[in-house]
Amino acid sequence: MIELRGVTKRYGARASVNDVSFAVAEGAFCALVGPSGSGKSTTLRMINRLIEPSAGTIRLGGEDVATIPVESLRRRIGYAIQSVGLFPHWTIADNIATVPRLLKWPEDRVRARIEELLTLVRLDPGAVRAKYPHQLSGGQQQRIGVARALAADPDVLLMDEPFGALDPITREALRLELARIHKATGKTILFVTHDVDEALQMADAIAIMRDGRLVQFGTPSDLLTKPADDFVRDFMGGSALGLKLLALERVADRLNPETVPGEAPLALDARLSEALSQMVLRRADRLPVSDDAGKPVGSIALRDLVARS
Amino acid sequence: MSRRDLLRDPLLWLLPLLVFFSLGMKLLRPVFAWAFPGTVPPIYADDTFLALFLSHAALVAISSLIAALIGVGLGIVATRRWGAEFRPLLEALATIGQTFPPVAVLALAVPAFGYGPLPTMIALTLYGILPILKNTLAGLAGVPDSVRDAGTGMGLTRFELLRDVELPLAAPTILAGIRIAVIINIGTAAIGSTVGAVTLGNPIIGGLVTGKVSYVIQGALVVGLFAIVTDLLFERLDRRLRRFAARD
Repeated sequence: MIELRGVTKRYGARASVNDVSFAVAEGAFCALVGPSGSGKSTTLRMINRLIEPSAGTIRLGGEDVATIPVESLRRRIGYAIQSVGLFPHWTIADNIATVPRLLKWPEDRVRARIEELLTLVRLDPGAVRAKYPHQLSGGQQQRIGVARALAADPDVLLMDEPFGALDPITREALRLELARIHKATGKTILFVTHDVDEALQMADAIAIMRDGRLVQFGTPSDLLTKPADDFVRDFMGGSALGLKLLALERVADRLNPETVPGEAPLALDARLSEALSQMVLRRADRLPVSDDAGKPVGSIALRDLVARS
Repeated sequence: MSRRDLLRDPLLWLLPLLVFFSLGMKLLRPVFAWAFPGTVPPIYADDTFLALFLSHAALVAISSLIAALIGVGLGIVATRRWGAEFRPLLEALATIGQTFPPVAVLALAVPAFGYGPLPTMIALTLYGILPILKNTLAGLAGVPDSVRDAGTGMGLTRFELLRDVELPLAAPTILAGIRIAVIINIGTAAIGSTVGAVTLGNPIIGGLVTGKVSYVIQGALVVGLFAIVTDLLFERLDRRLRRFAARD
């Protein structure tokens, strides 16, 4: 869906993005991670041509973005940023309607879309529609930012640290929401973050950048088990790599059908890292597991966590 | 608005007062005749106050309108990427220019344009540009980068961004500049009478020259009310423009 080939951005003699190539499959959730100044935001902003590359090509659904008129390209791509950038003088409804109105959608379709999106980001349309951005909390504003990015039903969503400015609890809630929205809409998402845990939790592909270069591109477990170099290993978590690997899999993946008695069974979709944490807390090497209805379905043991499935 | 607020709103009695003095100064004849028995006639009579007011208002309105068009226009140019080179020059001009007293601008306009309404009009326009330009620059600079970035990223053209986002957000600041220009121009236009413009300054200047204090009072009353009422009207407009800001 998104394909970068040899993309470079030079400012004077310095290349802030240097010969970057990777491809994001349709419907994928790709995280672009790296330390500050690694060129990840610049890379993202070259896709919707907020920055023009010095060399290389970027294709969107097979089409070279340089050949698409810049405004119509941007109207086809959802864009959400850390500072949200809602228009303070427009109501929430008008903010969400920005791109549909630029695309001259009929007004009844715009109105229906506003309702639909507010419901999708779990805000009450009746309560927030007519409000102004400053009347909402930071988390609510970011939900509107996501709704606005999705408004014209773009195939691709570019997000530049969208949850970076939020408190950890709101942030976690919005990550879950975004994962749900991704599953529900099937959009291709390219997501910039400097937070590896955020990337591991949400992405099915991760691109790691350093000093303008792409260091490694792969699935989360690739990056954890086969880091390309020490930088990737350290960046992905150093000595905590094993724990992060456990966080990628769920109890259901390693379930042992043998049931054991015990209090507070684990859920099937609990992460393996959570299972380990519970074992340490409860001083037990085997814990019961039950399904959503609370029916015991098996157990998980310490050696199940260690063994390769 | 409650009844109490209605009574408190000074516009509701100042505006009728302005209308009264402009149309019905004659009705005060006995008052002035009693207070200044030596002055004949007791009310300034070279022109009606309505004619003076209308001429004064037209001078201020036209000069302020031209100043607003030029000031906002220059401010927009200087904040575009292609016009950024002019920005330091325009900013310096606007700041230095405003320390120049308006009377001096008027005095300098006379040798250049002669007597009559024209030098006054030109002086008012030139002087009015400065605060409007300055505030346009400040207002556009105050638009958050994140808002610009989001707007551009969503595919607004530069013109759409200017029209739909930058100018509305800068509007309260720009309006404040226009308000300053208009209020200064109302005062300066009165002095325009010394160089041949017909304004509410005529009875004031004439009264000062001939020692008729009552004429000075009559002219000053109308000019003062004009300035206050105009300022209050701007305040209303300002409140309307800011209705989206910090009010829960």
